[in-house]
Amino acid sequence: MNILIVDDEIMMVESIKIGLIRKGYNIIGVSNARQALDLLSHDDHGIDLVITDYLMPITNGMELLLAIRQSHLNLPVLIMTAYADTSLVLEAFKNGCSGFVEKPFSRDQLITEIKIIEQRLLDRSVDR
Amino acid sequence: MALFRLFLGGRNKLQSEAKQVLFSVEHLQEDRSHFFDCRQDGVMPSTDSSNGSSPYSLFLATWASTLSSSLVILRRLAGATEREFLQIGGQMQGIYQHAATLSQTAISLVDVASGERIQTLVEQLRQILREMETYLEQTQNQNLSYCTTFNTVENRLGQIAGPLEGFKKMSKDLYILEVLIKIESAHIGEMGGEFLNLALDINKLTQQIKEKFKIIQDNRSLLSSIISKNIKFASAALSTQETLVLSTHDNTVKSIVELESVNQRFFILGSTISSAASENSNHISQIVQSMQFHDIFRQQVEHVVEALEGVLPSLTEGNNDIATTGDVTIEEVISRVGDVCELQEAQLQFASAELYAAVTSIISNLSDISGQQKLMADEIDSDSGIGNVSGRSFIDDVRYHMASIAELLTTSAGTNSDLAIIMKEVTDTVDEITGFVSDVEEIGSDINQIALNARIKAASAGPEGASLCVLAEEIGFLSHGDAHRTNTITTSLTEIHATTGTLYADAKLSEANLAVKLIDMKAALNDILTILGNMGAELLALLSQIHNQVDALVREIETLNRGIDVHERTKAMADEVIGNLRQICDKSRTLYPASAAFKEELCQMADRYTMESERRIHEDIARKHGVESFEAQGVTESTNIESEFGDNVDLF
Repeated sequence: MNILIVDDEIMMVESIKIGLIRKGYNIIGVSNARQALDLLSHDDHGIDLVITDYLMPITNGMELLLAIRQSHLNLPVLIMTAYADTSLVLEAFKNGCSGFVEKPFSRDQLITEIKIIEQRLLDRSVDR
Repeated sequence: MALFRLFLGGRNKLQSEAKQVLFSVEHLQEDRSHFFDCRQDGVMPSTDSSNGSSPYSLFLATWASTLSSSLVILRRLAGATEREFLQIGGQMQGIYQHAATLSQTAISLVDVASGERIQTLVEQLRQILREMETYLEQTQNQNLSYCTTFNTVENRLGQIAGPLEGFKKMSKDLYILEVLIKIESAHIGEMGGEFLNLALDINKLTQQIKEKFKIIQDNRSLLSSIISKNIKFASAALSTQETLVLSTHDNTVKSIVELESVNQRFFILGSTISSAASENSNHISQIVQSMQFHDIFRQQVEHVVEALEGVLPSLTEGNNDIATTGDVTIEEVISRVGDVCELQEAQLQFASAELYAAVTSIISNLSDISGQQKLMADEIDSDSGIGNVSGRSFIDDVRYHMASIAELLTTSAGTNSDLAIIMKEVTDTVDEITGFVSDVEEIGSDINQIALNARIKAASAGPEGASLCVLAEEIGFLSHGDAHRTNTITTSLTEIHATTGTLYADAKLSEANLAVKLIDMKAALNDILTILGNMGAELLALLSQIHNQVDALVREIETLNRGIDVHERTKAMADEVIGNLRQICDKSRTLYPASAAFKEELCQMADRYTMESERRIHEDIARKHGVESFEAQGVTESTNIESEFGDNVDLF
């Protein structure tokens, strides 16, 4: 599974990246929404999932989600956030967010969320 | 490369081997002494044939033991740190929610005092100010009319003083004429009887004049006294009223200014609170973000664990004859253990220091948030002007101004009422005096009649009545003078009556209108006072709520902060492992320098370690061992991506 991680905290990207690589995922890390969208617009990497931080300068995770939805209707997006307010969660799901993970989270929690999405993708491909 | 494979292999044996290699410190010391002695002689220790083990076996076993116990610490460290961070993160969620609630309460407080309600109050006050100005202008005009009327009446009363005195003189003259007529009538004998009747009429008239004019004079004096006294009162009232007008206007304007200032102040305060709340929210959010650092730390510790697990088997596998069997020499093992320990010590040192700094920063940031919450509460206290138990609030000030205005209006109404009463008294007195106008006119008519009678009787008396004829003429003169006085008095009294009567009628009407206005204004003021009272109660309740919420939040943060010692415990555990690794590394380096394979491997590390911090550590160690051309390889596929997406893009 190819995963794109978007977080302005480079250490965070690296940390998640290493943790997920060890679990067999292919990871691309970028530090802002613009880079993520550029990458997706030239997507020859077969990105299956985007994991983005919510709180980022200039363009936040929700705005990135909306932008992704313009070009990638079915690409799953998982949002990492310090605080998942009810209103934020509702808005995100309304905009097609695939899941939330609240910081600080353990690697197992993140992997559980990824596996749920992975299973959904698998189910979807079987349905087809 | 064989050595590298050796480090990666044999992990499954780790646990059982670790249990086998627990040696005492005494053995280690003993073994070290032996080891160093051998090096000094330039002779490598050989296999001890008596027990079939290498002379290094005890020494290496001690290292294995140290590394095994370090691994136990490191595994505990990785798991425990994550659990604690997640637990603190959970508590931070509570703090975030409570901070958000506090911000919401602060915003509610601002809304109460900066929104429509205050603006409505200001508008109501402006309306009252306009009405008050009209009201006070009317009352002032009325009082001015009173003053003018009093002056007019006083002047008129002055004008009739002379004529009234003339009547006094006339009554004396009449009395003299009466006496003279009586004397003359005695001289003319029988005919004098008619003149005695005339004298009697004159006597009656004289008495009437005396009575009537005494009453008129008394009333004039009374009126004059009333006027004189009340002109001073009216003038003072007028002057006081001017002060009242200014004061009332001033107080109302002060209230408006105060409320507008409150409106403005709360608007600014709202913006400050909103910005502080947003800052705090971001601050807390960043803390929580930084708490995710535990994962980085865990990764770093896991790297150390993996490396130590990799090297541990070399210390235990076949250590009975390690120097002579297999493709790994004892020199390689010692050197490699030194390499691994050196590198992992640096990694752990870095990870521990980073974690310590991160947690210290979290504690410091939490303290800052706590301080900011207190500061926000203090700012609300001082800037809002709501006041507390000891201080006056802006509401108190406005209420005080409102109460002053109401009092001033009441005073003004009282003054008007007093002047109206005086006016009534003046009018009544004038009415009473005016009642004598007909008497005065009647007396004048009577004198005329007597004068005419006197002339007729004198004429009928013939030559004997000549002297009486003179007296009749005198009466005629008196009558003539009386007509002028009567005219002056009646004209003045009629004018006074007309003036006071009109003024009193107008005043009564005006007073009724003003009274209604006063009631309306007082009702409006009362409404404002009620609204202000409610607003004050609401603001005080919210302020108290803010203080309670701040106190609770500060306590919550302080309790959390006091409980955060994960960095100290982590540091202690890491320091213990770092000490172990350093000891092993130092010993290893004393025996053999860093291997060429290690230097080469440092250059290849970037293939396995992608964290920038770890790359830097590899680079530092490589340079320390004389590698000048160190270049982190980075991720093979990253080159293209970097050119397209910058330095932070790595593709695997």
